[in-house]
Amino acid sequence: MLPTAGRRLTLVAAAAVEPAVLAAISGAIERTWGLSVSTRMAPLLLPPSGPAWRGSQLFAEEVLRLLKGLLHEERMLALAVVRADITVPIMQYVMGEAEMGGSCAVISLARVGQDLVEERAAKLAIHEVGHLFDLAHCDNRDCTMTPVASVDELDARPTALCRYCLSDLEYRLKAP
Amino acid sequence: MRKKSRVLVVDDDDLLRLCLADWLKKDGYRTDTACNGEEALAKLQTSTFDLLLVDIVMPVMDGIGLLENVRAEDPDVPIVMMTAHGSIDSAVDAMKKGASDYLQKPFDPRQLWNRIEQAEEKRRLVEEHRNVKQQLERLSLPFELLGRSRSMLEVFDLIDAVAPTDSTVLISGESGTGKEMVAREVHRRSRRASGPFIAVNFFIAVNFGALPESLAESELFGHEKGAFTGAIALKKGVMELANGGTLFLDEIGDAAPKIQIDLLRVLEERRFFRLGGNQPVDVDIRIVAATNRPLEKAIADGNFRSDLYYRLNVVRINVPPLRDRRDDIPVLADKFLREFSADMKKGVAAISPETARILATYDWPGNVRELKNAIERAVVVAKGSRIIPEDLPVQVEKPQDGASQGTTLEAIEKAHIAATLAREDWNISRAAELLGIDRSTLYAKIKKYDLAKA
Ligand SMILES: Nc1ncnc2c1ncn2[C@@H]1O[C@H](COP(=O)(O)OP(=O)(O)O)[C@@H](O)[C@H]1O
Ligand SMILES: [Zn+2]
Ligand SMILES: [Zn+2]
Repeated sequence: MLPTAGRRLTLVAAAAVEPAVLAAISGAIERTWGLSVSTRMAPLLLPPSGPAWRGSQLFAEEVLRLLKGLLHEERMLALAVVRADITVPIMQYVMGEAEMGGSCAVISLARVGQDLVEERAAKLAIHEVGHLFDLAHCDNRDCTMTPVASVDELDARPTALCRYCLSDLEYRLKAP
Repeated sequence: MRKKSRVLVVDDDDLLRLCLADWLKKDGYRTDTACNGEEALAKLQTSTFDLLLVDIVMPVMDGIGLLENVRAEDPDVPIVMMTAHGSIDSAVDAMKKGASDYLQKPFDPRQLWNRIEQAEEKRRLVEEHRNVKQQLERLSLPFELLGRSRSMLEVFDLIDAVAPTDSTVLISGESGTGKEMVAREVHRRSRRASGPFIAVNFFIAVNFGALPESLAESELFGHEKGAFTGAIALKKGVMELANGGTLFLDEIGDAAPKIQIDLLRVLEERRFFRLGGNQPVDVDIRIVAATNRPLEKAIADGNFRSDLYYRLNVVRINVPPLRDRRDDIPVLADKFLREFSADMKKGVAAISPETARILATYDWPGNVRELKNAIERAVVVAKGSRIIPEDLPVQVEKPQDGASQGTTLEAIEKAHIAATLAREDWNISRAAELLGIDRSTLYAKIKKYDLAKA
């Protein structure tokens, strides 16, 4: 059993996301990380315009900031699912974003296409939760921590951790 | 996960700089940041980076200025320029001035990864090429160690085989056979050649330093300020001074038991604590040790730790005594003759055939050092342009008569001890060994006969 087991994560649907997609995400997180997931259909109060946006793109940082306001317990984790295309200042876009070793993450459905939405969203979520446990990107193609920049790359990415990341994770969570 | 490169991000825009550094951290890179060219140069003085990501437009010193400064020192470090949208001209300018590549902000994530990977790959190839080239150059250096006997040629081969590796080496051989020279050759022909070569002699440390153990330890490991009375400032020990180079532990068999334990830990972990310190110090050193007496016997006697022995004895180079490789005598005698004659500005150019015969047949208990001293003395006293037998030290010229200069047994003993000490340059350990007595007995005799170094 993973050392992450037992932690609680709130899945926040910040937009109209199909229940099947939310269910796929929460099921994947429970299976992969052993977390107990509760889902909230609480739309985040995203400002419709202003510095949170770059054109039609939403800065991920803004979502993480709002998400943090929803957490009232220290060891709680939260993952938001948004429909808007998200980005960070130095990049043209990102598909997901998380605080390394932190509590909040976000994934966007804007670039996952029309097909396989459940599976793809689940993969994005698994990866970002990995960052919350302080896992960095992995060079191993057989690892869910390998970085992706497109839906093709996402489809090629597995849903499981490689053994190096696994032992890395065990080491990190054991260390004081 | 493989160990990733160190990246320096240089940008005056706080948000972009931190955002990029975060992104790179997520990729597993170790990052540092600077907000202009000058700050970047300052960081480059104290740390090394595998890749620089540099914004072109910055105050104080812009990206082009930084590029030119860095390239003047380091033609190889990959520098990827970051340009604002629509400023292709300056990017082209930067490429002409030696930038490895450029990226337009904001970045396409896949492009960023690719550029970094290409830069890393290029860097790796350059380094690999340089390493191979340098290693070949180093191995083709002439040996300063001379010899043409079969056994010395074997020693040379062993040195060339072990030098490029980081293996610990144990050199054994009688006093004066050239163990320290072998250690220096190993260093000179290794990738550490440009780093320090530091020698510690445990015999001297133990016997002449008359140091309490803690002071001997502080010589080795250094101490923190206030570690003991008299430790008024932080001091680095030889372990730290040898960082990046080779540490030569001479006469390792004389190391005190406590020091043996400390050495074992350094060999196993390549880290240690300064006296009074609680932060471990990591060092990158290669250890070469030497011994003039069989450590195997010291282990059996309980004076040397066997675990330390196994850590040291990874590669063993045995330097045979000079009497077992007489082919080397003419070569060495010739070299020393030329050196001393030039040093003393004396025109002593040759060794008479009779002298050469004596040199070739004498037993050389003090090995190459004794030969060197004998030639030095001969050059000093030589009257003509050739060395004749009378110029040699008496024990070399007439070995059988060496000790028979007195009447009583005591007088003979005194003369023999005095001669041996003189020949060994008052190295007590070596003289004691040659005389077949232990050091404390020798000290007692020196006192008894009131002998003193000339
Ligand atoms: N093969 C050699 N070629 C040239 N000089 C030598 C050689 N071996 C020894 N020497 C010289 O003899 C002296 C003693 O050598 P050293 O390395 O100090 O011996 P050890 O460490 O075994 O006591 C030094 O002055 C050294 O330069
Ligand atoms: Zn990621
Ligand atoms: Zn992995």
